[in-house]
Amino acid sequence: MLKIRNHQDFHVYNLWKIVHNKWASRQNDTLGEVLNSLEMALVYFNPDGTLKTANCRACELIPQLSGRQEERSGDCHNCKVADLCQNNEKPIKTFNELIAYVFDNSLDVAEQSGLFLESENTDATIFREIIKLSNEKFYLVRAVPQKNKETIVELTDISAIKSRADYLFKLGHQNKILTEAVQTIRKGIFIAENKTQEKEFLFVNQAMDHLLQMDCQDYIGKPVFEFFEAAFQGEYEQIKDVLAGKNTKNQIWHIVQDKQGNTVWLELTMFHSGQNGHLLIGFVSDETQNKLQENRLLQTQKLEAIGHMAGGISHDFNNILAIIEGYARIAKTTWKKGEDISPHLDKIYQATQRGSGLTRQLLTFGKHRVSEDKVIDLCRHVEDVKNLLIPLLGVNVKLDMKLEEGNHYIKGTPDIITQIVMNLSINARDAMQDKGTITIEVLSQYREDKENGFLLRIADTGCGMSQEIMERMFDPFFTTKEQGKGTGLGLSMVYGLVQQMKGDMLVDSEVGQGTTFSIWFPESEAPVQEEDNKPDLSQDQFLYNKTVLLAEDEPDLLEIMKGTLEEFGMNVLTSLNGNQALEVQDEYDGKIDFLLTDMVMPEIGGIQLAELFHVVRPDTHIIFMSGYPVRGEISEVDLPDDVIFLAKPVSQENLKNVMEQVYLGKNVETPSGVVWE
Amino acid sequence: MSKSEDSIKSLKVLVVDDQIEIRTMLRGMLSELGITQIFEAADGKEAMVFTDNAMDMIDVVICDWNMPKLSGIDLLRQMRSVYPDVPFLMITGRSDVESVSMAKASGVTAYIRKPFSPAHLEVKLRVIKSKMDSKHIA
Repeated sequence: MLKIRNHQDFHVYNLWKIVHNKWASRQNDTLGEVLNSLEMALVYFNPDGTLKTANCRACELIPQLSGRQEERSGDCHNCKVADLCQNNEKPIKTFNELIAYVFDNSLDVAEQSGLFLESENTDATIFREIIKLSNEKFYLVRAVPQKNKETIVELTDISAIKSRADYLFKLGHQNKILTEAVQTIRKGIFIAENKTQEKEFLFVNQAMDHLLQMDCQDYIGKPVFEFFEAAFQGEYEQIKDVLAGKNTKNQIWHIVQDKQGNTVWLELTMFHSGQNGHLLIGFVSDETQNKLQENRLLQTQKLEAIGHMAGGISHDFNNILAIIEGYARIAKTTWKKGEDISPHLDKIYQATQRGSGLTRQLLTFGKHRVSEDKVIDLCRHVEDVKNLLIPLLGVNVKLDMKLEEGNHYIKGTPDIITQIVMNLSINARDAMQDKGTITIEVLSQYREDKENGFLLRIADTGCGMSQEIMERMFDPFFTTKEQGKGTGLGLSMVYGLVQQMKGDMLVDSEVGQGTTFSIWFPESEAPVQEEDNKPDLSQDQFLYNKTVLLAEDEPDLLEIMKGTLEEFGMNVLTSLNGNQALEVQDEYDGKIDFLLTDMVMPEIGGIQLAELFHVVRPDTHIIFMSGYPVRGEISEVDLPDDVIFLAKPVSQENLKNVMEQVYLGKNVETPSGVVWE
Repeated sequence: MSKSEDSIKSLKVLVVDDQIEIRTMLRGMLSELGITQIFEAADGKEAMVFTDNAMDMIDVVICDWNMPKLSGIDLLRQMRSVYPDVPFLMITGRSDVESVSMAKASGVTAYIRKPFSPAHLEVKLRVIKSKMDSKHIA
């Protein structure tokens, strides 16, 4: 051990010298070697606080303490300790000086950033501080008292540890922020991790509890499928498919009711993440608002479609009006010449029939079914349409009709044949831009695979259709015509009608070459009697002198119907609403055989009127009429199945048939060809 | 056609009968028809007092033919002398031609024979309402 006689005068560099010389001279001193090779700087102070000895690293470090930038390295024997220390403005000579220096340069607690200081046993230590040198290095300074009152001070470079600790501290802080964000977000988030056999529920945020109205935290650590089973019972199979990769559309809808009873749309999306997809990350979001908006948009689109349709319908109606107008004009001229105008009036009558057929089809669009009881001759009715078609096609479109000789009986109604031929012919006309030839053919076709039937073929020489258009041509509301000119319902209607008649439809089209529609109808047995045998209405014996009470709130229609019924030889009582109908029957002393009532009227509607009427006059036969559907989805009222109902406009013939059958107590078959479902 | 509001529900009705059971039954039937403004009088005199003071509070009088102090037909005559237009529904147990023609001649708006169902009553009220609307009240 060195002895320093007068430590007051003893400069530290002298000390270093001594130390070095001492240690250097005793190179075989193993302890000295060990101490000198330490990364840690060690300084030994005497009980009076003067320097006793120091190791090599200390010799290098101590001079830096007072602010020297350069770092010394290398063997301590070569370093010029004296020079270094001389350049020091305030060389450290005593323990007190060291302490003073340490406290001047120590970091405050905040900057220590959770380093291990607190956790270390401090009993034997005088102090332990972290100091920061001017070269941005951090040192841990620790003074340990010895039994002989001497003090060892160790200085350890902890820069690397400090930076690691700082990094961890920052990471922890970031993690805290992220967790907070994930917990406050309104979207539900959950994470599952691959464990030995299956995925285990790892994390779930608070929003999930709220969205699913259950305690999701309970499932942490459990297999993820347990959670799915509990939270998405209805969609469990779907989820399994998604996780198995069977379903590529990774979007699962889960509909729940909230506490207020409102419907909530939850959307579940999931994806695999991490190495080899060992993590499953799922999101649950409340998409109710989006759904509502989507519905609103759909509604708007529907309205738009209706707008287009209205345009198309007005076009169709204008065509009918054109026919009526044309024949009315011709009739006027003919009448002036003193000739017979009844053929023209017939044409006008036919056109109005078509008009009423159109409204009926519109109302029952997609919901109608054809009454197959009627047997008609296809050729005859196709020929009838010719007269309606010619004024519509214009002078430049040639109509070529090739109708086979003989009878062509099929089940259906003339109305439907008209609809089919008119729709296809008008399409053909539009496809030819008003110039070309439309060929309408009817021929017998005997097919091996099917029963015998007839082929209705309508061909044009127009622009034809592309593959894309052909794929969509039967879609309702799909049209290639400009806005306001087509409903997009024509072909879809034709398709529906053909299907209902148990027919087949084949379309052949090539762009620039024209289009051919071939419709096959099954053959029907010949009708028992010709439907054309119209009985003379005025000589009716069943209805003659019978009393009918008519309830109809449309005064003009009331007048027309009154006239019609009077033509049957009936005694007609009229009323403009339900209350009035009751009043009229109250005043009338005789028997009332029929009540013919509108469905929708002010005060009380037809159904309520019928109920009350039945109480006071149980013998009266009641027949309903309406311009609206009365049964099924699009109906506003629900008429019982067993009551007799006539769709407006009611033709004279239908009305008479129905009334006769009702009077005779027969089962009434709806005569209009189209019934309300 | 869109006007489906049922106007008989807003009728204000005065029920005149000496038997409380009949009045209660009528009140029940009227309530069933959705009528809420129902007033009662136990005899013809009470009815006259009521109408003299609060004629604007009633639209229709429903009255029994047979009452001890003042018969239905007497009440009808008295009322008609003051209010020639008041709708009057006479309840009668008699269905002989004579009584019916007597009631008609006295100017009832409508009459209803006992026994009757709520539907019968409804029909008669609707008849009266129809007459009120077309203003040809007898």
